[in-house]
Formats: sequence, C-alpha cells, structure tokens
Amino acid sequence: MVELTLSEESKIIEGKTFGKEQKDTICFNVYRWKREDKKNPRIDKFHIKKKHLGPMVLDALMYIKGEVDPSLTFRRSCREGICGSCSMNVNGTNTLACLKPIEDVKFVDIYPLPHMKVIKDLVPDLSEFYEQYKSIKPWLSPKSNGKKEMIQTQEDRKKLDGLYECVLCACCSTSCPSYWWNSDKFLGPAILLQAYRFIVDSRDKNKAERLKFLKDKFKLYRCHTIMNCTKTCPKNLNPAKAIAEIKKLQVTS
Amino acid sequence: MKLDYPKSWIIQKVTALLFLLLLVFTLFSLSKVNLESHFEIVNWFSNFFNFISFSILFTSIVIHSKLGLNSIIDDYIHNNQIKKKILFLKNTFLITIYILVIGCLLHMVK
Repeated sequence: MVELTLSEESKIIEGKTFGKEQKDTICFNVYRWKREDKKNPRIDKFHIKKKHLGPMVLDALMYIKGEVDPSLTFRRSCREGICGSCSMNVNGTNTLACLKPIEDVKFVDIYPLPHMKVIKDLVPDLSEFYEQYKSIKPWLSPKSNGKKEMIQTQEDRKKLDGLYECVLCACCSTSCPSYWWNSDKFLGPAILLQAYRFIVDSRDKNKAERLKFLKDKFKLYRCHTIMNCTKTCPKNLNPAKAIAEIKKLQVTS
Repeated sequence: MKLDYPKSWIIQKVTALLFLLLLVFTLFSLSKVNLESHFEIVNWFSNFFNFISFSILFTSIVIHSKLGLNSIIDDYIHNNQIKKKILFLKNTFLITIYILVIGCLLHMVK
C-alpha cells in the first residue's frame, strides 16, 4: 500500500554549515546520508564564494568535494551531458548537474533523484532501473544473417532522432509519479523510450515480440500522460511521445 | 469479461470522448427544460432521441468510471487481497447504480 508519511528515520534534519554567508556567496544546501552512520539524512549548508565557482552546478559540487568536504559523494564522469552520471535533483527539478547553470541566486538545493534508494549522499541505487533496461533487450536483432551491411533509408534513420540521444540518466523516470508508486512493475519513461527506439528501428526483426512484451497493464499502461518526463529531460527529449507511439502501435498492429 | 489492456485503453479514450460530447449535448438540451417541473422532465426523457442519448451518456460514464477506477486501484493498492475486495465493492456499486438509473429511466418513460 502507498505510504503517505515518512518514517521517523527518513526525516531530514539540519546538518553542518561550512563557511559564512556573505554578499558574494551562494549557499548550497546538499542532502547528506551515510548508511553506516545509522542517522537521519541531513542537509549541509556550503557557503561558497562566487569567484570559486565554475558555471555549472557540477563545478560547485566538485569544488566542495575538492576544497571543503572530501566526504561528499556524487557520481560524475564526462562533465558535458553525455554520460548521464551526474543526474540529481537541483532546485526541485531532476537534471544533470553538468548541464545545470548556477543562476544568480542565493540558494541552491541539491538532492538525490527522488523516490530512489540512496546508497550515499547524492548517489541513488539504479540497479532496478538497469534491470528494467535489460528486460527490453536493448540490442538489435538483425533481419539479415549478419554477413551483409544493413542499409537504412534516410526516412527510417530519421525515426531514431529524439530517441537515440537518451543517456539513461533516469531523470525522467524518477520524476514520474507512476514510477514512484510502481517502480517494480512499471518500466518508466526512460526504458519505454529505449524500447520504442528498438521498435521503430527498421533493422530490427523483433518488433512484434517487443510490442507483445509491453502488452501489460503495468509495464506500459501505468503511464497517465502526466508529462513530467518530457518537462524534466535534460536532453530535451520527449519520452511521453514515445510512450504514446507505443500505445498507438499496440492498438493498430 | 477480461479485456486485454490495449483494448481497455482505447475503450477508455472512446468513452471519454462520447461522454464529453453527449454531456455537452445533454446540458445544452436540458437548459431549455424547466427542471422544477416533473412533467417537463418526463416529457424530455419521453423523446426517443433524448432517451437514447442519455442512456448512452450514462453507459459511457459507468464504463469510463469502471476503467478509470481500475487504473487508480492498480496504481495505489499493492496488496492483492485488499485490491480484490475494493474491486468487488467498486463493481457492485457501479452495477447497482447502472441498474437503478436505467430502471428509473425505463419506468419514467413507460
């Protein structure tokens, strides 16, 4: 059953404060939690001078980790929105920290992706998400025997635009209320976008099988077109449209 | 009857559209009727076209509610035992309401 209140040990408490608030500082409120401590999660405040900051939120986190508190934990890799590692919730919106500019504000709130189990600080446990990705068989089953080049028309190739760019950062899935309630059964927007990417690929022979796999009231039909996924996608993709296209294909094919 | 989910999804959309169009028609049509006069209301329902359109409207509302409530229950209730009981109560409620309303309509125009 859905739980509407937080348990006592999940309630966020006030944490440590680093630095002092000044005219030229920005306060980063960062979620901190370490399993081994067996304490409630806390919000640490980092007052950082603007002159020390790079342009993006990830730059600030790296400065904090490098210069202020080396125990701060987060994922990052490419720093340019390609790897999808640094997904987190910044000022209430799921995004990639490396693509999120630090605006001219006094406070920046940084939390891990919502409704995911936290491993430590800003690192969510994405095991279930990757298992779901595996379940859609995210590889091409070629129509030919593999000895010949598989040629695509320009029109067929165009169908993959807006789909192949997904970096599996999970920002969309973790912004979806349907995914919050049924993350064990609903595949979520990111995985469904990927599923559609393989369904429309002219080189794949398993379209019918892929559609049959999704013909389930939980895997696909928990989507209620809330559109949070499309609103939050840091790569400006449209998972809601991909889901609608799958639903149309389910009815017409 | 158990529908496969794509069919139930499309039925939900079709009933929503029917429901919307017929509701607008019914409200527009009823705006010309004095709702305080029992005779005028019975007269309105006695018109074959009004009777059929209202019956279709109510049927689409009930089907749409059934599918919509199923969806909400699937979303929020994860305990199968509780889910079964709530689905039973919901179906009983909707069938009772449907039989009552259609029965009343037939009785009114008889």
